[in-house]
Amino acid sequence: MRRSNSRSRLFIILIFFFSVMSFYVVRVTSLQLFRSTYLRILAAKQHNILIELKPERGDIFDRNMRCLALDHNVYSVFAMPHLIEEADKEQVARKLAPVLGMGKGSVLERIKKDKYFVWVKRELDEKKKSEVEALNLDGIELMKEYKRFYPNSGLACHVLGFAGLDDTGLEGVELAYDSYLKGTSGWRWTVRDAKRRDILADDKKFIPPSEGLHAVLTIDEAIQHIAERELDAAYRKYEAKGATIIIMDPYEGSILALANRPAYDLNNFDSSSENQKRNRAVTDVYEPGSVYKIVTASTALENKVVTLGKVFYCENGQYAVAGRILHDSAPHKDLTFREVIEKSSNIGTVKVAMLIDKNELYRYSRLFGFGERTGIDIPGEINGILRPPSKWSKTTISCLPIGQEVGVTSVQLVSAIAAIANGGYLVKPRIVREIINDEHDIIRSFPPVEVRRVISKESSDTMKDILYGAVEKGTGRNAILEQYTTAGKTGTAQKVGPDGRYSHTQFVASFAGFAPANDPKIAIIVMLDEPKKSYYGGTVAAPVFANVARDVLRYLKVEPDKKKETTNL
Amino acid sequence: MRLSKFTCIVFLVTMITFLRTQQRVDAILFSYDIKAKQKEIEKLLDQERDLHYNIARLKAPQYLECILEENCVKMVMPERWQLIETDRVAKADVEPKLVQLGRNFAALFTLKSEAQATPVKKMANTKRK
Repeated sequence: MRRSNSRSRLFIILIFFFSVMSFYVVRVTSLQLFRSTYLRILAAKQHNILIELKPERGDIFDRNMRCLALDHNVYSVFAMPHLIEEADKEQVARKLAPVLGMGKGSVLERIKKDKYFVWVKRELDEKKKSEVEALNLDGIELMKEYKRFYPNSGLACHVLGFAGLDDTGLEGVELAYDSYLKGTSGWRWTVRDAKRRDILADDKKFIPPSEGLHAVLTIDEAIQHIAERELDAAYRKYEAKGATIIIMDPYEGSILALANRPAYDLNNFDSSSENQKRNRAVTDVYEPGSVYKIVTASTALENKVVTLGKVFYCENGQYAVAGRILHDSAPHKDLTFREVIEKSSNIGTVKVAMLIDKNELYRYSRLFGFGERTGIDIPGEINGILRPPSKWSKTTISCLPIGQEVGVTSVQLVSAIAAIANGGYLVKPRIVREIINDEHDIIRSFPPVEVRRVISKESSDTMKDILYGAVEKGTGRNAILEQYTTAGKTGTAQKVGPDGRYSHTQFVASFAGFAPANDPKIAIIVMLDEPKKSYYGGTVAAPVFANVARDVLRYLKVEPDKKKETTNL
Repeated sequence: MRLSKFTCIVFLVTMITFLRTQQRVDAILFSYDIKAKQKEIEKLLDQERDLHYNIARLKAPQYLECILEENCVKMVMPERWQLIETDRVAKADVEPKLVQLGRNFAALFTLKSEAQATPVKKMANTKRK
């Protein structure tokens, strides 16, 4: 009896085990045969992960290797909604929102999205990152990213431009040289454990990121600071609508400083207006006024229609020509060609221009680079306006020689004055000198480019002499320096009003010059748009030139050339 | 005999599996260690980057000018008469040629150590990374 009982019990146990085993065999078989593909994909999704390794964007240095832009670490919070339990989402949002400084609803909306990956907040600092980490929330992770920072805040903002949220260049050098600076992303295909830790031993593929290259500019941080300091003072003093200054090496075309006003803080570019971001030096066209007389005078000298001593009768300040009445700022009678330019007589200049063939005047305007882009390596440059003689009106011959009916950019003007300073060559302005790698090996260099010869050496020397006189004896007296000789030309241009006539209240004051006059080291253009209180180029722009030139020449350790009173060059 | 052979095979397979598992566990543990070290390096590199940024900020001309203004320090470029041309001073210090010749001649008869270490000119470390 007892033996049969134990057998039946054993039989029951065997049946039980057999049933359980059968169940598992059936289950395993069904999983292997019918759901294996689906489950394999599901497991792979959980374990295998493809990580993008973002490259570090290259730095931007000035000509002395002082850092102007660099990448800095920030952290971005992202959610993987499928890893957060539906019931927990409310609680996750409640905990996360105050740390991120967001509304709970906004966080909840993001983590409820039917997506595998959702950004919650980008670009957090180290402190916020630690706070998020301390919360230790499932499905909420941090990703290290790079953000562009500019140690000098707003210095050279229009040159540098800025990089956006994804470290992509959006303006200035950041945009123009984005292909060099941004680098190439790398990838890591790896496996993660249940706690979402990477298992390096199971790395399946690893392509390292190629870091961005660095750009070395021709800009000098100290010169840029001097230029901005002086421009800013004038911009505020004269309550101008806008202002521009460019300092250039006349021989190499290297831009040592370029600044505009209004400006903006590069570290906070989101809060600035388009007006502040506009690089007026290359995008804004204006009538240059008397500064353009350097082109007229050079053309006359090249065509040998005048000599320095040739006398022109300046009609006592009022002259009817080509259907309009010309005025001089002060009445003059007989002036030599040299005095016409020195004293900036409109009547005298037009009389000089009338001796030149109009095609020649146009040809030299083109040779000086007007009406076409200079090719400066920052985006947004425009051609300017210069009409061919076939499209000239009756009045053009009385307007163009004195800088009316022509639209120029500041960078065109500084190139033109540099052509006179350097002996007659038009050089291409350049901002970036070379591209280097982490080891400071030069990957690509951008050497100076001589575009063409504009005027002969003799004409250039004569023009230097005239422009030296324009500063010493003419309208540019405020540009005189104590220790250095300077040469330049003032410009006071009336702006065209909404009615299409020249305004008597809105002016563009400018000064284009170089120093030292004998052996130029720098060419400078200063332009103030609609200055108030005073509007003459000689009063508003020339002092800025003088202050900047004095400090820059000292900074560059240029030997003073006014050892004794210089009367002749 | 048969049983012992079977046992041996099972034992061997078990051992191999065990060793393989142990190896995997070790590899994973090592990768955790490597990851931790990598994080440490990253942290140090981040700190280095922060320092570079801070140095650049401190060297910014506007910042320096602000500090000088706050402390009422007015920097003025020296006038020409305030400058001493160093090359002239250096010329005055140069030994007369005869004295130099005599010194060089005397040097021929002085004892020197047989091997002298050539000083290596240390390059200025301009690299950031």
